[in-house]
Amino acid sequence: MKDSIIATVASLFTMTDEQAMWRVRMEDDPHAFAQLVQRWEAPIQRLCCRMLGDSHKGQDLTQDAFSRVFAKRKEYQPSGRFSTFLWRIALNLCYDELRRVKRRPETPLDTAATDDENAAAPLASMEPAPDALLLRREQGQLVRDAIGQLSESYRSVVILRHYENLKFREIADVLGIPEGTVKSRMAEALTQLHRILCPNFGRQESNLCKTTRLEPRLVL
Amino acid sequence: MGYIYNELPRPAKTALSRHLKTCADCRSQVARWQSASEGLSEWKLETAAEPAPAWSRPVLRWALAASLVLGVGFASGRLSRQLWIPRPFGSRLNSR
Repeated sequence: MKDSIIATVASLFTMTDEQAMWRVRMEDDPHAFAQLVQRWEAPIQRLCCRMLGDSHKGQDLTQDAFSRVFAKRKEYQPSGRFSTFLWRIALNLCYDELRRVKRRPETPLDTAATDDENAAAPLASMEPAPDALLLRREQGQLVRDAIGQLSESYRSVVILRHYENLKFREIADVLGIPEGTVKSRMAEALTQLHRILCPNFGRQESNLCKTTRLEPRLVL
Repeated sequence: MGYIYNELPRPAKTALSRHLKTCADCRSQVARWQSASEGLSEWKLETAAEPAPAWSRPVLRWALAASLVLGVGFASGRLSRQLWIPRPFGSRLNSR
């Protein structure tokens, strides 16, 4: 409650993303640009890390994405949302990087997994149950590998909808495709993920795949 | 998909829920999607830091500072006014 009041009051004094981007476009305003970076760095970093399956490359690509936003500032149309403009730029960079890696493979995904585990290592001491932590990490790794097996077009839809919580309508705007196509891609992606994940999760005594044999939870 | 990700309007959601109670094929399809969707949440990233709280933004800090200065100015104005209020006109006449 207190946070929402503070956020509401704060929103009266802060620029919207669109206003900030307009200032960047018209005046090259560094403060407005810094504000956009501060607001959007984390989501863009998550998108890039998940698209590439590699946190280090994801961080590098995040910097590239903001450099490209600045370089393309004159192309920004104030009638559109800044977030759509930014997601699109970041996604295109991810696609370029994935194609580059496909042409010249550098590191297998397994190495990236080790990086992620190392990044998470300082948090390990805060976790109460090492077995549960290990299981969660292994499952996280399985999910990451499964997403890595999806085609780029399915992967981007899954990441934007499931992890970044964009509505199907917004994803359609970012990708420039009809909303129905986004939904059918999501359906196909979830079908493929279920096929890939369930045998592995089943082996790990997880509850996740047991729902296939039970009644679905109907949310009314 | 709108059903899985809670984007359906309530009437459509209710209608679909009713259908799922009677259609085993659709029910198992929805269950597969739901379980895959739940599985996705197992992948958590340990990367980006949380954004700074709203009050720490420069514009808001300036606004808070400005309102503090205005508040202090207003309060001191109100208080000092009490000190040099002239005596009522009538009382001055009486004293003469």
